[in-house]
Amino acid sequence: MIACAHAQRLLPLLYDGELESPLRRELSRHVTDCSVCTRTVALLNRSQELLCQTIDDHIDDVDFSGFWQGVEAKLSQPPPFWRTRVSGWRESWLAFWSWRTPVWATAMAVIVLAAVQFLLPPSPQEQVTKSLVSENNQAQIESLSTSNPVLVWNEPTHHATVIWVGDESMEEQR
Amino acid sequence: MEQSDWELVRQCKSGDRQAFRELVERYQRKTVAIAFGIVHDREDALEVAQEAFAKAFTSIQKFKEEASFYTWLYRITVNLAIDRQRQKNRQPLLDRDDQGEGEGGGIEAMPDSADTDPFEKVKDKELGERIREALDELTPAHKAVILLREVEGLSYEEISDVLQCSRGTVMSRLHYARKKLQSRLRDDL
Ligand SMILES: [Zn+2]
Repeated sequence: MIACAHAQRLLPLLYDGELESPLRRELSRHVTDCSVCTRTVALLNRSQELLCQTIDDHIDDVDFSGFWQGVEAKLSQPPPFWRTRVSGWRESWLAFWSWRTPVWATAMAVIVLAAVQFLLPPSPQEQVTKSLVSENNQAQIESLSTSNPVLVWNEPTHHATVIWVGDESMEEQR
Repeated sequence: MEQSDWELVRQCKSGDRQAFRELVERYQRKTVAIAFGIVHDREDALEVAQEAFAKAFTSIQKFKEEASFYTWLYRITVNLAIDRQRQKNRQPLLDRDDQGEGEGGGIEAMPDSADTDPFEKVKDKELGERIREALDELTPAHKAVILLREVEGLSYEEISDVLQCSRGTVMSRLHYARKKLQSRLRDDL
């Protein structure tokens, strides 16, 4: 005897005609005697009916009289220039190299690596440098992110502010 | 006697357009239905289906006869419909709203029929809207699976051939799509 929980999992397969006997026969017998499974099959049936009806209603309304002429019109359109070039290149490339997957995988890997490199947020050093762009003899630091000690002081004689970041390579002066 | 798809395909391969016309007439309705289920617009669906046939004819030499013609044709259709839908989704919302109001709009634009009961019409319209919403919540791949199974009646094997995925993927996508549809149509089931 098939358990109801197991039967429930198999019902879509039964409904879609994807089960072979004897399981199909056994399941069909269970459905006849089980109200839960009968309801599940009815649900599958009704939702299919509604979907088909909705699509059919629209397709019934379509005028197919000029359909073939539309296909012919598309057939007589010359392919775009770039497509001819690309497909020509592709054909010759494939004839030259038959290992398609590794080629594409390698190309994609290179593109992804390049994109990651390009899209990564700039390092703290770059952030400081970028935000120190001068305009009208003034500059604004919007953020400074570092784990090293930072010292800031004003030098009134030269109208300058000095910022020291505790790393030899990161000394900036204004 | 009606010629088989294979016989017609063989004639197409030797450049016979009349044979291809017969294949077009055989599959035009099904092809438009698949495209419509994905793009939700009659004009777009017609355009996609015609493009799919044109593409099928121009690449008929590449068609290997161990597969069936219609699964190959449906694959081209599904891919073109998905591309079309993506293009539409990239359009500004305002454009899309305008199109919805227009001629041959989305699923919500049910056909007018003089002898339809007005109450039934409203009910049908609401139902059509709910089905459209349910389909819209699905990814194109899920949409394609449920359409190919429920509307076109393809087997799992054929669907996996159309969508170039495993039978297990077909089963899990179908399960998910059905649950989604059933949850939207709870009151109508
Ligand atoms: Zn049961």
